[in-house]
Amino acid sequence: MKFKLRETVYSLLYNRARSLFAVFGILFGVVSLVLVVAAIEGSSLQARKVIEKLGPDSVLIVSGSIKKGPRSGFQNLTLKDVREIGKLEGIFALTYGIVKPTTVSNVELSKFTSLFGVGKNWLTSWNYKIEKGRGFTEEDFKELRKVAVVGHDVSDFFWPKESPIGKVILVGKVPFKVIGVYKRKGKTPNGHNLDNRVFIPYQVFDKTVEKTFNRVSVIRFRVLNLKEYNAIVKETKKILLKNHRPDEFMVITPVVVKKFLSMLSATLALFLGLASLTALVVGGFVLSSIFYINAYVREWEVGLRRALGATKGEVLKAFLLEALLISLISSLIGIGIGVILIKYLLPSLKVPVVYPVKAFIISFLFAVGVSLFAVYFPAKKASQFQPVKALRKNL
Amino acid sequence: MTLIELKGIRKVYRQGELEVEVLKGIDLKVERGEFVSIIGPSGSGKSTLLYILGCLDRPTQGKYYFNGTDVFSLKDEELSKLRAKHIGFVFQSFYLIPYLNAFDNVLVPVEYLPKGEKKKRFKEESPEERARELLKRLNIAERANFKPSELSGGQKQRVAIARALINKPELILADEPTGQLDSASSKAVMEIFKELHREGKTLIVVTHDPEVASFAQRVIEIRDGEIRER
Repeated sequence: MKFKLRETVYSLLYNRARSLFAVFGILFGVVSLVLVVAAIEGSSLQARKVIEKLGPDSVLIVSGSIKKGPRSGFQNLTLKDVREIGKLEGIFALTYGIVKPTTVSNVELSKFTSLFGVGKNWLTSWNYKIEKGRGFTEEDFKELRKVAVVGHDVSDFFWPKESPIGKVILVGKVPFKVIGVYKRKGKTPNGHNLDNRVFIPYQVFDKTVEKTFNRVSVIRFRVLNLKEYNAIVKETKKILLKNHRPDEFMVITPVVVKKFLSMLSATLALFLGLASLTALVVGGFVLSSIFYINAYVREWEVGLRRALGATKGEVLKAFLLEALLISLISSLIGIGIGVILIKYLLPSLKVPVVYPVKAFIISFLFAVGVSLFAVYFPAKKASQFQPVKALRKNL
Repeated sequence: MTLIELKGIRKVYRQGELEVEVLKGIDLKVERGEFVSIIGPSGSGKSTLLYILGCLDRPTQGKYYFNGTDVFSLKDEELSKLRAKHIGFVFQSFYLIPYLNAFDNVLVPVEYLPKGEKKKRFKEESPEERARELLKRLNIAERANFKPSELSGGQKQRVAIARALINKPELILADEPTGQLDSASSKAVMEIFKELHREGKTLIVVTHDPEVASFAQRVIEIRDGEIRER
């Protein structure tokens, strides 16, 4: 076996141009397959993350419609909706908020950030963990205190070396006292920076930043008993339909998210998958024709080996071993290029970077399978050469 | 002891409508240890006869007993193994594999021996040791790592002879082994054959050159598909 492997390697090196073309033929298919599987894995991971963030027991209501997408700019929902939903039984952690992209500043610096006016449970309900200082208290809301909880990107920007607690930031011209900083949360699966946010009590937002007219961007609550989930969602929709037109709001549940995202990744998978399989099949054809030509060029060699005692099967196997080696080399290079592209290309497509072992295994298996299948026919042909004819050709 | 027995071997090639009878009923016996040369002009059918002797070609008619075995009752695969075990070939154009060095070229036939046979034949020395020894004996040990393209004709043919000997076959078949060599190299090759003959190998050499044929102990002339013993 060792000798056969050595022979095969030398043969591939000797027929360098042929080997190179063959490797290229398979390479592109492997790269695209790696990328596609990685992209699919990435987007399904994204879907899982979104659902995880949302929580399986949570219900999220935003302004906008399924058709037009969520609109944070339009605030159709109101505190009246919040109050009425709050009367439903079997829910907890009800909260609401309003968003406004705003520039905040201290005396020297200013920074563009997302300003949130939020209801009481906001921080706990969305799982913001306080790292320094404290969160909001009942008194903050009751006494309309001008206090803010900020993200790390905000506090590090204004006070890189000091503790931000007790410092003042200006929203417009209104000073707010920083009472807390929450732990880093990173980015949302869609690329929004969760650490560049400033939270203030909703009622203070209304008084000092902008009149809200009781409008909110987002309402969120959770369901105590998952068995009642669907019934509660139904009730919620009933309340909202009483107050709004159907295209003014969206009720987002994990099921809806899952449906939407898996629909997306299924189409993606189908089209890209077909494209890369086509690339691989074309590569197979390339490989096949290269080996056909090669078989005829080496006809005398086949004749010689048969004379030295090789069976047809052994000739066939020798060609397949070359194909196997070519597909191994192509897979390794292809996966290497794939990894680089995953790292640098996928982020620009807003797909989270994952290095799925599954992608590597699938593309490797496909490359080996296609190569062996493609080379089988020319190899079979070569093994059928008549030794006498083959040997006389070179005389 | 008879190693080879041919009985009424006929070979007919069909070229479209035309039938050409290349061998017209050959009877031939070769004893173990004989050194036979088959001489004849080109187109006389001597190469066809050699390929039939080498179990590479099947006759249209007739029987071939190798060591008592009815050769053409064997399946293709068994024929291959018979070649690997018992027959060594030397060709006019050497047929060295261009991407292997001399040493690896000598080793090629070893991989075609059946597993058990390989163990049996290389009990005392490994194939690699035997290859090195053969190259040394044929005076090309210092060229072991050279590719065929870096060797002269005479050196190539000596590598090919080493390859023919590696599996310790009973029979060496040579098809115009000196056809592409100058006279000095030709003589050297034939001297090697003579030495192999002295060691008890059975050799059959096909040639059109009477001088080369004269090295053999027995010369058979073939003309128009029939043989005449000289």
